[in-house]
Amino acid sequence: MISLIKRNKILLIILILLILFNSISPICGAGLWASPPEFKYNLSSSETINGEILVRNIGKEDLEVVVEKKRLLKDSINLLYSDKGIATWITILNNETNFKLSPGQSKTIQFKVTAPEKINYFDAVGALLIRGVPIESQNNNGVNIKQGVELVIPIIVGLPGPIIESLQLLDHKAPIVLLSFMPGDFIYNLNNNGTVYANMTGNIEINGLISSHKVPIEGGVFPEDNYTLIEKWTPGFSDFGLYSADTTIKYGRYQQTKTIKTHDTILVIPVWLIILIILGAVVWYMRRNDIKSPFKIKIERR
Amino acid sequence: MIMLGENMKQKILGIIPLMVVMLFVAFLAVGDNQTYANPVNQQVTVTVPQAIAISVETPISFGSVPAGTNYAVTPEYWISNNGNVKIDVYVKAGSTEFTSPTATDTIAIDTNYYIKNYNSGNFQQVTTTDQMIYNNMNKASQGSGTPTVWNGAQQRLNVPAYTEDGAYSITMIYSATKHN
Repeated sequence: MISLIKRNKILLIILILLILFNSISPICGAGLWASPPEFKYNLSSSETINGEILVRNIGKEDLEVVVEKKRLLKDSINLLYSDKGIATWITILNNETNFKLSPGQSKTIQFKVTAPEKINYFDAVGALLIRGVPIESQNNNGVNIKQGVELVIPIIVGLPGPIIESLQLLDHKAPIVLLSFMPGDFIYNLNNNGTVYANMTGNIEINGLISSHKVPIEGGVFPEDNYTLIEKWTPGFSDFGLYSADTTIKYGRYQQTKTIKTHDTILVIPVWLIILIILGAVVWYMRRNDIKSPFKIKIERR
Repeated sequence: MIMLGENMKQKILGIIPLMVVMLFVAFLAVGDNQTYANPVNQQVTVTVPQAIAISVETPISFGSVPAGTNYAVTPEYWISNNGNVKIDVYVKAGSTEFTSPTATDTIAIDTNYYIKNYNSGNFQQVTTTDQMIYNNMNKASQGSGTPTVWNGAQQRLNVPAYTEDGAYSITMIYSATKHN
């Protein structure tokens, strides 16, 4: 009898564990896995190097897989691709650019990178895009979305050439007027006109009469790439008046030794001041036009 | 000159291999003792290969949406990181409009189709180029391999008034790249 109760308890625990496991692990999805997630090579002119990526279908759907070679451009929001530059140096071997993968099935994609004879820059960033879209029948009712996945595998090539660290601020925008709790965007359009990757650090120092704030900056720009850096600042309840916003962007390939600086002025109007002004205006209008208040407060002496 | 008998020669020839074996054993023993006498730090290195992975629930549906409806939303769905590196997740539409196999109308994605951004919590316009919706998604758990899952992904759609009835569809692609 006791052993029967024990067995039931064990079965119940196993059942709960199974339910918990199922609630954690995703089901009915499209998924891709690849190793390694990036490549870094140093090449001499005309040198060729070979590489390979293992790709696996980790979802529950049959996938139509397409492999593309691109030049990679990115900023804090967007990933963009081009067919120029390093994209032309990469070759996907054995014509394996389109194939099917069943759930659990793997495939090795081989490629080679050949540096050009004439080298224009030191750091070049390409990528292999491995896209898997489910081969599933369309639902004939309603508005439906078929969801696929894509792995972006960067191929970063360092080439012998002049190391020029140069970042140019094309333009920048800062908010002029902000209300309390209203986020403001600081937008910096940068162009790497040097020959190497520019690691960026820095901050925006926002100083007012009674308070000061620091917004950290972090990012990186590839050579010949444009980068839109967007940072946000939201004034708090106690912030009001004129604020100076001094931006310092330090950059360099390894050590951030070069600097870009900007200066802006922001007027912060606090919400409590707006409410006071509106109340004052209403009271002034009512007194001027002899309008009696619908609310009466009577203070009696005892 | 010492003359050795045939018997003696055979004995010496028999001893030589024995001496060689004894010397070899002694050499090993000395070498072994030296190891104990002068301990050195042995550095052991191991390289764990990196792997990137992403999964997403599919298919998802807005269900039946009457023409002229604004802010129709999908049920919340999941996106997960099943690899051992942190990732940034981007999204793009496979085309500029929802199309139907039966209706001649289409639903343009511009100003009609939005997706939730994990970091801001707001809906952002879907375009045909990759735009980030999740910055720095954590890797799968060490040991258990339990993926990091975002269960709150959602899409929003406006269906213009007088859109022809029918089933409409589009393909969405979720891109993952290693977070640096």
